[in-house]
Amino acid sequence: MNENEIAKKITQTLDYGVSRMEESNVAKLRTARQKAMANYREPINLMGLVTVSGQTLNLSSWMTKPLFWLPILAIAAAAIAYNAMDDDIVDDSGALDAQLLTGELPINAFLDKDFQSWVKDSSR
Amino acid sequence: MADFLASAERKAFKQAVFAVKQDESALDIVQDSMMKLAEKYATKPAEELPMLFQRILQNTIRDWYRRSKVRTTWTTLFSSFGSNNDDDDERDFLETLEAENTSSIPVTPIDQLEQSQTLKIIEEAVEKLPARQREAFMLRYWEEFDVSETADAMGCSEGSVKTHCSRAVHALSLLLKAKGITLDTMPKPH
Repeated sequence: MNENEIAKKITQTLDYGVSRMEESNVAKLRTARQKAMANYREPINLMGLVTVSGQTLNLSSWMTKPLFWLPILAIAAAAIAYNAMDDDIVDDSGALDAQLLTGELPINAFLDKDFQSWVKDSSR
Repeated sequence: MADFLASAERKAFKQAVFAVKQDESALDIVQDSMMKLAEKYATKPAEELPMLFQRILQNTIRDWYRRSKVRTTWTTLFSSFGSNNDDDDERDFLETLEAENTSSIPVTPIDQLEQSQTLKIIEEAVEKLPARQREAFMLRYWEEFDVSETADAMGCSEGSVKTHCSRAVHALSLLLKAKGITLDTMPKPH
């Protein structure tokens, strides 16, 4: 008999043993399987593109993690800072326009070449 | 997933019993393995599950060996406080007796009794194999993995798998021959 044949004979006997396993052990294994399956989530197909387990979609667990909020806070802070800068620029030009219209601008301002070119540029 | 686990759990349990020689620990190992598979590999296709499950099972058995080694060290250190060895011995003895009684109930003809006795001898012989040889034998021949899959599951080379398998089969033949079992004449179990 070669190696494969010997192994086959032995594994056939082992299979026979498995088929005659004690009922108490079979019941314990069934319980263990049910416990394991309690943690199992069926895979979910999102728009035919992404397949994830239900576990992954549990957002509440993610929301309790600080790392989840860090990039969101960073983006929010950047957006607020950008808006503030934008407001400053608008305020500056508005104030100058008002001063020009009301004639409250000092006379030296009209003699400044850079200022005049800026007025021309901004009036286009 | 449930169907796969139902089909694999008994063999997995026997493999764990062969490795750790205790039903309760074997049951814990199988349960842990099933839980890990169900939790972490839910998205894997069904054909990958046997390999993944075997990898998890073998790793869990190795973890058990590691923990058991640590436990043994502490038990030896504090042996003067009284160890659990006596309890373990007693439990093993009872379990063996129980297994012997249930496996040899002569409910059917003599050949069934012979098969039960042969089964017991073969299971004992498998238990006696060195861990790596037993692991290779179980994966390659019982789980019917090919050599590369077995190597992958065991984390070793294909050459090592072949060597372990060859030695395991040789050792089993010798062990069975010493018990008076000739595989040539062994009847096929029903």
